[in-house]
Amino acid sequence: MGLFHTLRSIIGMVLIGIGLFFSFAMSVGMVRFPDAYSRLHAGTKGLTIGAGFILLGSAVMGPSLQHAAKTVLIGIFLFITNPISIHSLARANYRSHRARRRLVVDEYQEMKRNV
Amino acid sequence: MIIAAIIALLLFSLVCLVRVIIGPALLDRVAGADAIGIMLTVILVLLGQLFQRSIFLDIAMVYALLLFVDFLIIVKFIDHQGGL
Repeated sequence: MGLFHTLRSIIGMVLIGIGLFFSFAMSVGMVRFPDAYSRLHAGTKGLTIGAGFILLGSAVMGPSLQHAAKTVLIGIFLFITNPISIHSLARANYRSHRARRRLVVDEYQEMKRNV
Repeated sequence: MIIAAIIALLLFSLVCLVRVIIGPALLDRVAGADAIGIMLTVILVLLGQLFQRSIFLDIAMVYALLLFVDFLIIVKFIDHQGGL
């Protein structure tokens, strides 16, 4: 029991450390990237993976099985909703004309013109 | 260890708050606010781990759901307005 508990806490700490690294990369990218769409890219990927790893580590370290199940449920919810919300934000920004004039490259428009 | 993780997440959300304040367009501000909200959800889960109480997880679940609905309402507003 003692060995199992120690192993569980070590695995949880390693997973939380990986998640903190991804969150750190996300916050650096959120400030340092030059473009709005690349900032969205950093925000989506780093945030989803970072929050997923931290929630997984917390579920492994958790005191009871019910606690772990709730944590995994929150993680699944974030994994589904965060890409949806960022995607809808980028789509709404693309559909607004004033933002489209600032784009450097617009491959979707070129593809529509070629078809 | 968990307290250090919570403090690190608070520092990262302060860095995202810089982007919310100085962001040139509404897109950057909304993306930074979404990042802060998800980090606060993760902090609530870690607080539940720290105090060994499961009521924080219920609050985190409701917080994540309300964050998603809020975000979709803001996106709908941007889309209907037709400009930033």
